[in-house]
Amino acid sequence: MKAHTLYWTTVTIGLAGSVSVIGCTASSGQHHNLARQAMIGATKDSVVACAGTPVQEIQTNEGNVLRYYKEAPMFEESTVFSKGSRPGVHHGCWANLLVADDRIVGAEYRSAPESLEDFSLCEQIFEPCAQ
Amino acid sequence: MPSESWLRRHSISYIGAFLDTLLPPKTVILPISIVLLFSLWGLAPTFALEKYGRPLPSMEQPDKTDQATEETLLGGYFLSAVFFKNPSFAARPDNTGLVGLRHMLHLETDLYKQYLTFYTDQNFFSDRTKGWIELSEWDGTYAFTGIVNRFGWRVQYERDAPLDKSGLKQIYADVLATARFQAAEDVSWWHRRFPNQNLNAYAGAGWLFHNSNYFARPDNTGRALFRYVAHADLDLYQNKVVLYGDMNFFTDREASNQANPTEMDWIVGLAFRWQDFELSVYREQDQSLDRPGLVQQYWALQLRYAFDVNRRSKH
Repeated sequence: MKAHTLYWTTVTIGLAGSVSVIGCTASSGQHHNLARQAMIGATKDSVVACAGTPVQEIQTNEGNVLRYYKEAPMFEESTVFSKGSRPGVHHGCWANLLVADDRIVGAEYRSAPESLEDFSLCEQIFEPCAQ
Repeated sequence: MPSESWLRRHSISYIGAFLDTLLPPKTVILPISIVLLFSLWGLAPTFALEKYGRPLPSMEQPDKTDQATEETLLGGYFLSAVFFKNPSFAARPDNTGLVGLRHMLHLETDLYKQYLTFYTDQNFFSDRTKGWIELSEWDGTYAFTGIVNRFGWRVQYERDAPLDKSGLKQIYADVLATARFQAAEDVSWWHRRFPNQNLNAYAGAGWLFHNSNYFARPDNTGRALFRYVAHADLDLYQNKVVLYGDMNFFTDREASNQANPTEMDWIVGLAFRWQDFELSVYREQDQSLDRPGLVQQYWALQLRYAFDVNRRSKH
């Protein structure tokens, strides 16, 4: 067997295997949620002041829900290559805040599309509130 | 009775020879492994919802239409680039001239959420050997694309034609499938260690099912059949400073091994983003892999301006 073939086979299979193991064991539902934590207990007015006006405000039996949406920048969604571009992923994040007695009592992030599990955009909506 | 050392030595030789017949060349192993790796990541379970505090009522039913409207994107970008160092990147499909300036308009719109998107690129080059300003090549790209879970797909038609004179046109249509990885979400420790950084990457493979003079090497020989791609964005600081790299391999349908890459194109760049503007400096090199030949390469400085409409709010 040629030495270079053996070398490349070992390197690539080893790389793929080890990183796959890391990916399978390290992948979890733990995420950063500092901004969201900061909002629980905050008044509705203070959240609107720092995060802006919500896309929607919906009345429910449990209280009002403020809905925010943030789309990823276009620079992330399409990259330039040689003589054209490569499509990225259109994605965004919905953040729903439950308001009771004029205070935020619950928060929910939902990635769009849901399969992407990217909540960083939601965090960015409320980063001014955590400062 | 052969000795133990003789058996060991010859067994390894036979196994090695057998594996040599099974394994593709080394140039194929790396792209295939990358695609396999990303595919495995794509099979990992995802968590589309995060909750904190009191549970919220379901938001699924009352405003489905509004939600779809909000997520629908109609946008694009315009860019201009100056190839400030260009020893060999050609300004026409027939490999004549040297690119001086590049201008590109990218437009895209969602036809059905993220599952079906249409985009077009109109890409123009000028020839620095003919005064820099007059356009020498027009590349038009039209594509449908979409994502399903962590997998992306694309069907694309591209036509590269000279503008300042008649000549060779390079045309192809291809399909491409990719798998995506995002460190901040896929690896739990990433955000703890690198709170202001992220790594996004994808890799995939494609098939040029229609090919009219789209070559398999930078010296315009062969005919491209398959492509292997890999891309990575390393967000160095809050998506304002981004280091990126891109690789593209072509194979030759006229070669004895049609899966063996014959061309490798790579780009490395550093981008600085501020609101809707991006300034980047990057280097590209296109080279043959299976034989000596023309290497096309350049350095460029590029300004990109992004725009979008049909979003009711921007935060």
